[in-house]
Amino acid sequence: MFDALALAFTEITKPWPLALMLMGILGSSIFAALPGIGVLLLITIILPYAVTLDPYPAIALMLGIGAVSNTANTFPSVLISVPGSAGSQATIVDGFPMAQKGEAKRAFGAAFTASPIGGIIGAVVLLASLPILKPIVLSFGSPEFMVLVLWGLSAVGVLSGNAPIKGLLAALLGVLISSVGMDDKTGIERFAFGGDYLVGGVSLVLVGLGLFAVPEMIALSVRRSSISDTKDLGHGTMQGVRDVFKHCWLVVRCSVIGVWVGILPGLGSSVADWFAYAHAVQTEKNGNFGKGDVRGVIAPESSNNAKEGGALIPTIAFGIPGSTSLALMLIVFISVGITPGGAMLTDQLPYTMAMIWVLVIANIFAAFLALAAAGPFARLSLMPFYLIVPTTLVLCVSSAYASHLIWYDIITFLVFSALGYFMKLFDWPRPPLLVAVVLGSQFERYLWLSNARYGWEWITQPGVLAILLLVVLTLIMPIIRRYRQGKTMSGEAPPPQTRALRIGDIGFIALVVGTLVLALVHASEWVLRASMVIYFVAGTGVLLGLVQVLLHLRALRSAATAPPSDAAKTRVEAARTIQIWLWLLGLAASVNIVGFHITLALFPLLYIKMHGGSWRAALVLAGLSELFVIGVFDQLLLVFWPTPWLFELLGLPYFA
Amino acid sequence: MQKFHALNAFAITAAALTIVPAAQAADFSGKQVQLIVASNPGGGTDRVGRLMAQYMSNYLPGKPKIVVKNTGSGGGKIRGANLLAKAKADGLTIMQSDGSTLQPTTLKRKSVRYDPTKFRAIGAINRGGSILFMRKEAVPRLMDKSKKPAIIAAISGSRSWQAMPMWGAEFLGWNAKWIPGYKGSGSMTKALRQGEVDAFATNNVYIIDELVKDGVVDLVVQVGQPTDDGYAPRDSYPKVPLFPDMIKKAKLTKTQWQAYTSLVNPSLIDKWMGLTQGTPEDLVAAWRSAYAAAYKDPGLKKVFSKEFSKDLTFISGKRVEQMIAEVSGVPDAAVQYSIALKKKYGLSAR
Repeated sequence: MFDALALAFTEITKPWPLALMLMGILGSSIFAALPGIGVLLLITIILPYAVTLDPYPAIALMLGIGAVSNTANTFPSVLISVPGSAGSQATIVDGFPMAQKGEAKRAFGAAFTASPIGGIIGAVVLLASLPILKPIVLSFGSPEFMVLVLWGLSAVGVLSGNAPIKGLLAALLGVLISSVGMDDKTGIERFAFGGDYLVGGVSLVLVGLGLFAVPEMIALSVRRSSISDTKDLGHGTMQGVRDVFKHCWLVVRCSVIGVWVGILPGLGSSVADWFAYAHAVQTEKNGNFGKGDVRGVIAPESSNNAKEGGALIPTIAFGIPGSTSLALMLIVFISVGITPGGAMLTDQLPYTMAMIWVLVIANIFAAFLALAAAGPFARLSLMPFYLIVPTTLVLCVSSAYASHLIWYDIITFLVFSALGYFMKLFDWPRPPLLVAVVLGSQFERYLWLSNARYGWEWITQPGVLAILLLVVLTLIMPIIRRYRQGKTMSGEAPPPQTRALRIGDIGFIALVVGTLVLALVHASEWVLRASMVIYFVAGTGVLLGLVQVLLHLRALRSAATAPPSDAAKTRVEAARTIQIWLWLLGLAASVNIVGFHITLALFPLLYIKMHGGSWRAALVLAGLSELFVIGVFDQLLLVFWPTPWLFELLGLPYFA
Repeated sequence: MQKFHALNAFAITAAALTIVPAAQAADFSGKQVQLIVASNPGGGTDRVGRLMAQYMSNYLPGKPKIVVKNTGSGGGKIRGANLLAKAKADGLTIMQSDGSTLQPTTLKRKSVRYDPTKFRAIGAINRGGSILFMRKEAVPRLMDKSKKPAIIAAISGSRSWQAMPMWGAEFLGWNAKWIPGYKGSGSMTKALRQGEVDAFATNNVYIIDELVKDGVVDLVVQVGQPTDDGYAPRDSYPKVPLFPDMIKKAKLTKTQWQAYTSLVNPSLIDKWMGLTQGTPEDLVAAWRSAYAAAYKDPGLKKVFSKEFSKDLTFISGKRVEQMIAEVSGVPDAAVQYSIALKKKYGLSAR
């Protein structure tokens, strides 16, 4: 084994593989930082070239891209609350509030130190696991998967903070959203309404963008300030680095969580960071999570890089790719003569060792690259709102379209933006909805498989019992701790709502519960196997909704609990809110009417000028937006643009 | 077997000869082609599509860039085919799909907006028929109804190979039970190794060979490749029994046999590529020529032999269209029979 390790190091550090690795790291960092675009697209672009390489250069290039795909995606998550990819969604919860407090540099310092440590831990675990790879992967069957997913769903309770009922309602809505699409076990096209748009399900990218990015930009636009509330960014980068070493045990634990999520094929990137975040909230003392606690950045960032090492385990052991990006990489590996499966542990062991080396080297390089960029990026948090808001909205709409290149995705994105806006307005925690969208369909799948195969005997299996114990502990411990401290989860009482907001919230609850009930009515025509989850979601949702409404009514009756409202301030905020919504709707309509190229140049120009920005700023940003469309969409992604409505009406040609 | 290979060679030659003169009319210079891949990235359909596209581009007049767009698996396959049906007939949109989009039961879905008989087929690659394999300790249980049934994993009811165990259970007395809902071949492989399930089928030679090498499974039966006088086994697995030979002994009615072939025959087309309806003949010819030439490219042959197996068969676009017409021309009684049988064994009807 050590001979193979030494040989692999020699081969992978030769000039050509090293150069390819660096190019992969650089490309991955750029693509990861572009929200909604992501590293998967880079892999598909590189693929035709990569299949022509020799094995070691191919490993260097492909894993150089893949190993660090969750490093630079932290930039948009922290700065503008836009998830760079599925693997950086949890970072937003505390990362963006840190940027708002002027601690963007600290967040970056912490993220880009935790990431490589997590990645290296992932590589070390992979190396240590080599002799027992197969038993590790085979120790998790459908029942174990199901309770693991349940453990992840139990995070909903934690992520709900001081609004547990609303958090659970949000999670139920998330489970409903996750059920949209074809149900494999019955063939029923759930909630597709006879069309083909929803038959493949709802895109997680659209949910993440809508729930987080747009509400924050609306808030910024209403406040008319920069992201950071303070002008002084300090020397936070080194503080962030020190934070990681101060909380090294958290880094190790979350990295191990990431590795385990990676080992289990199918759970994926979007789960690792939420599991780790929830674990941090449940186990760390004196937490201020959700309000800019650096541990809320450290936890997901260490786990999402560690996951890459874990994902290689089933890939190497059985040729079962642990992620979509690995599935694409397998095309390259097989083409260049690397055979996944048993050979990777015998005569192809040097290739396996080369993969481990790339995980280590790439993570270190990427961290230095990201840390070097941290300062300049952090200064973006000082930019005025009229530069940040149009940039972010342009990115969001582009990312929504880039997801599947379907115009309906922009409408779906707007729907989730509205949902995210009202959730933020009425103090509904948003992370539980996202976690439930990710995990809901998986829970349903593995519960079905477990019952179909084992009846109810699966509950008695040792692995299941062990993980169930973990679930119970993680649910009970925070409650016990809260009880001892006499506090709510975040250590503060729930923020009081004005009378108007409470009434509005009652309306919103009615809408959510109404949606669940309508879903139930529609689902009642299906076989029980397909509709059972909807019955559960709707039934529980109605009960929870009633409870929350009763709590609101009780509070409304008590005039003393309602804080006074500033009518003048409210009118101004309402007007600005309507304005920004009109801008967003106008942006979406405009891309349909005149196309992306004209819209993405005009939108920032008009927005900046109408909010007091200079012509110079307006023209520069318009130019950059146009470059973005042309550079990324036209040249790199080679997007096929639909002919905009006006062009079709006038019979004019558009870009092919 | 020899007749089958002769047919294969004839198909390629005929394709090349009929196509060459017309190809000179098409020109893709400065153009981009959208390749809709009706599957998730990294799966078998995606791999075939991407690799073919990479080489085909060199044989198209003007060497256009071919850009891949995945529409996902499951419902995404239908979306991909719907997209092709709506595309302009300018030769700039093609689709890589597989047999599941051609199944008569799938075509009965409300979300289907395409008619596969109207598509213009460019060609197809058959990777060799599916092999049903089973954990060694479960094989004796397959023919013994006094024991626990052998558990067969399934993604959904739309996979062609399901016809083998279903007809086996219905007509050959197989003692089997189905559990659908697995995510893909990877999940089913893991479940099989763990003993959670006992069997499934695939034509993926890597999965099959690894399981055999590790002593986990026995190869039970295979779909076979149609020849002029029956079916022939895959070159890589000549000794695995042919299911069509087994089922002949059961003396099926015409409807029962048509129902079986309606499920299996789409898999004989396997990974096919097509253009939308109404595409001008010169463009169709150009694509078919490029497809055939790419398939013969030594570089692609080398990659394909590593990615898949040596059992690959090229099917010309013209022949694919004939096969699609045969598959789609199945009487409704046969389609309803296969839907009923799927329901009986707990699989999704469509």
